[in-house]
Amino acid sequence: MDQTEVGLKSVTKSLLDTVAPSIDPSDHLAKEQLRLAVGYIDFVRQRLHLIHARERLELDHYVGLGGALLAMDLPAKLDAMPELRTSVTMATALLANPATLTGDIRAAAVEVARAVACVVENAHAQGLEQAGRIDAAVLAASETKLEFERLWYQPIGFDPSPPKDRRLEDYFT
Amino acid sequence: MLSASDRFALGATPTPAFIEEMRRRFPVEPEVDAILVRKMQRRSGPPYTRLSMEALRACIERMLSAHDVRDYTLSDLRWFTGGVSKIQLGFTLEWTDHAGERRKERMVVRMDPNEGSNTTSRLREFELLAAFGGTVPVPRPFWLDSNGDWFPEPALIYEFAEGVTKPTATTTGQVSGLGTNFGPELREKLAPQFIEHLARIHNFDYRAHRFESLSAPPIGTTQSAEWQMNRALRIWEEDRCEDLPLMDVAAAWLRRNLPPLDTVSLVHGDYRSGNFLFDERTGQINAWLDWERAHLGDRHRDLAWTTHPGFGHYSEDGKTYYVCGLIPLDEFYDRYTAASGLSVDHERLEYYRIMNCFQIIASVAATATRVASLGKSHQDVLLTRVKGMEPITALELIRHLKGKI
Repeated sequence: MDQTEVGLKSVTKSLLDTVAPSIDPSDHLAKEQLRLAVGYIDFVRQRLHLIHARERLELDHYVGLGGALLAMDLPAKLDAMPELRTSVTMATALLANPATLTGDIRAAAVEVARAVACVVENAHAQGLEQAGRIDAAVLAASETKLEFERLWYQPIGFDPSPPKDRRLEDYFT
Repeated sequence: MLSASDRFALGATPTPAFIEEMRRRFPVEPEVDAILVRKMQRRSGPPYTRLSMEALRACIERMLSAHDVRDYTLSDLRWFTGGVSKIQLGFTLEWTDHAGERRKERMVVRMDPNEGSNTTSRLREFELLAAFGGTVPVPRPFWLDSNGDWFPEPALIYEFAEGVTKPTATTTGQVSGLGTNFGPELREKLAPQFIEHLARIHNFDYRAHRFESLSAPPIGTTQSAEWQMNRALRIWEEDRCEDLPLMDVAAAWLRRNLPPLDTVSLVHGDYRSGNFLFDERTGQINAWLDWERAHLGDRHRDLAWTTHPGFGHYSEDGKTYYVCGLIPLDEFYDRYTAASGLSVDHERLEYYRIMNCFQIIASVAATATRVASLGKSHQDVLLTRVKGMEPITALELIRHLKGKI
């Protein structure tokens, strides 16, 4: 069984028990860096078991958004449409296979996102009449993804009013 | 269309053609263009490695010699924290100035890392600190190394200003002073100064000074908004490691809705809690810091920035939002207009709110990730953490864009 979580916990303990007391008390920069490093390791520990699922969720998001744009019957001559179609097809196949590796899922999501972004940019650059509908689809899909990410990064502490009515795990069911 | 892997590899190792394409597509002020080109030309260079205090002492001594400062003693060198994008070292200098007067002063070196979360001009910062002395409290600048002649990277030295950025007892405002709760007593003392200083900055007679690093956009045109928009778009284009289609939607909206300029103001660029030092006992503001994003342009850029929801907080009963933890939002604009004599146009304000969200996302999601992935700064761990600001700001961006597309 994988021991990464235990390993990270040990690293944190070592940093706090052994390294921290040996830092020059007047070196505020070093003290701050240690605090930040320990905090980030703790954050990773909390998210470690969900990273693969998150990558699948993100790819699923982009496949859904890409599919919505493909269903809009946009002009075939619009730049990046062939790449969008190809990347969505490939990503759909990856999602259908439960054995797909995390790195491959991530790479596919970055490619679909790239194709979607290029379609949005080109639709505006070419003055496409469907540009407004494309924008609306992007906003709607992005909102769901961002609400998830808001929960994902919550332990880091930037959110002034963290949502209380949802749990991160709810997004994976 | 380049594949994502090929496209984003250009951000890590930019070719001369890519750098030129960015300049052509996103024209900005000459000084901003120069620093962004420098950033990209150095992008594939080595990562940051920590400088020793002794190495920095040697840099200070080289600079002092070059400025013909003799008969001096350097002491009490110490690292400062708090800065996200700059390396800061405090020291005490006992020296004889050019008038022959013996002086002992506490000073601060402020130096870029190999690459930071904000690529900004030390020359501009130095010129503005020199110009604003006597108008609003600022630390007096002493010496500038705009090209990294004596230091490994561009740096400036200014006087150490006494004070704190937040009350010592508060647990709020831990990251760069964002969301600081000053409490009712300090609020009462700080708020009038906060408004008054902003009014003075926006009414500053920039024509009475000679600035090498600033360019004035013409009134009645969209040049001002275009320069700032292009700066944000260019940074997003140069730095990001992945796409976020929401940003393409926002970019298209920003391009379609550029507002014309009514008055040229000196815009501070980062006017908020965390960027001023105050005396905790008297509540007096002693110094305004972080002038690096200042420019000549539209005051609404500052007003939208200062009122950004992430920089303030709500009262305990959740009914009142305090701008930068100091002034209720519904009073802020009226008090600003009363102090400055300048109007507030809510349509322009909305434009700059969207631009500011775009800029923050570009900084925390694109630049921070790129810089940390290449190991370029002294704050890579912090830069990795600020990614956590992306979803909150992006949701804010969506709220502003809804109903406008």
